[in-house]
Amino acid sequence: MSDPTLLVLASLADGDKHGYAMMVDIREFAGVDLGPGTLYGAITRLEARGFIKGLSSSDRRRPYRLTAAGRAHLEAQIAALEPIVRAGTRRLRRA
Amino acid sequence: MKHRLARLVMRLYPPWWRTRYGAELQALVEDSGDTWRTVADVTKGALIMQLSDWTRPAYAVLACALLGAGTGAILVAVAPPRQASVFTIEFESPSPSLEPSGREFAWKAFSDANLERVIGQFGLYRGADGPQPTPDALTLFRQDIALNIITPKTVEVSYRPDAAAAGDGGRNLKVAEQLAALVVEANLLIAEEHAKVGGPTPGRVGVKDRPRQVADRPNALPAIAVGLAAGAVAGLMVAALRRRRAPAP
Repeated sequence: MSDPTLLVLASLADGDKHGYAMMVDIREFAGVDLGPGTLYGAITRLEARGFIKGLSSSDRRRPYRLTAAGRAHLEAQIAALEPIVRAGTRRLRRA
Repeated sequence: MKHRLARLVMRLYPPWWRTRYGAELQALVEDSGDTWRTVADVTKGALIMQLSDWTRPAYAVLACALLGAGTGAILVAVAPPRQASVFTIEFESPSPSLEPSGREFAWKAFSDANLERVIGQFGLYRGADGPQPTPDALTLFRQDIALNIITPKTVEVSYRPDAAAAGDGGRNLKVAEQLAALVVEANLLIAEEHAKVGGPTPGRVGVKDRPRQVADRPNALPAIAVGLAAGAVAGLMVAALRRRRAPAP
């Protein structure tokens, strides 16, 4: 659940964000503190695969946007996680 | 102070990466807080980016060279060992060195006539079309016999037929025994010749260790060296291709 690329995609799902905004958002919704090197490693990989794109900016703090391919990838990842979450929750309740 | 250190560490990222993301990362480092965790995280990110940056020629060359060397080592390891028959002879000579008596014994023992006799006796180096040895049988036989000087008075004689000429191990051992017999026989011939001319005796030669079979593995170093060089050349070509195909950062 702490895969940085998944966290970045989830963070961008509700709107464009620059690096620092992503860090704060991820800390809030996932409780994970991503360092700058880890965050930009994930951004590099996601941009190379076409899942996010950098928007033009006059500031050094460039915002990023989720692409259609990125949204589809995130949905597929969440769909793959859902049965695991459901099964784990059910089994914990029974135990 | 830690921000300055983090900025220094950012230089470890690949140049294309710094051009594309350097300013953004620097802004994020400034926003993230002046902590050692930030420095450590940027260092880790730079190392991971370097390792995953396969467009760098050095990585492609190194990886291909290591792959080539490994392939060479594996090929040597899986190659069937070459069977050799070896024995050791020792000179009892008044001269402190092997020369010239050693050469005289070798010429006498392994003369053309003697070796041709062994070739005929064991049916060595036969042609594909008959029981007769090939015209170059004597040359091939000489190439398969090696004299290795162990000490000034001790020589190891080995018979290593190549894969095409190799018979069964038992026959090879008998060939080596015959070669040992020729060495002993040379004592008599040389003693007779020296008695005729009345010169000083060249000494005697004896078989120290009887012929035995050994499994002779090829030397791995040449195969590893060739694999390393071929891999490096292939790596250079891969790096050149990747550089040509790589999109502009």
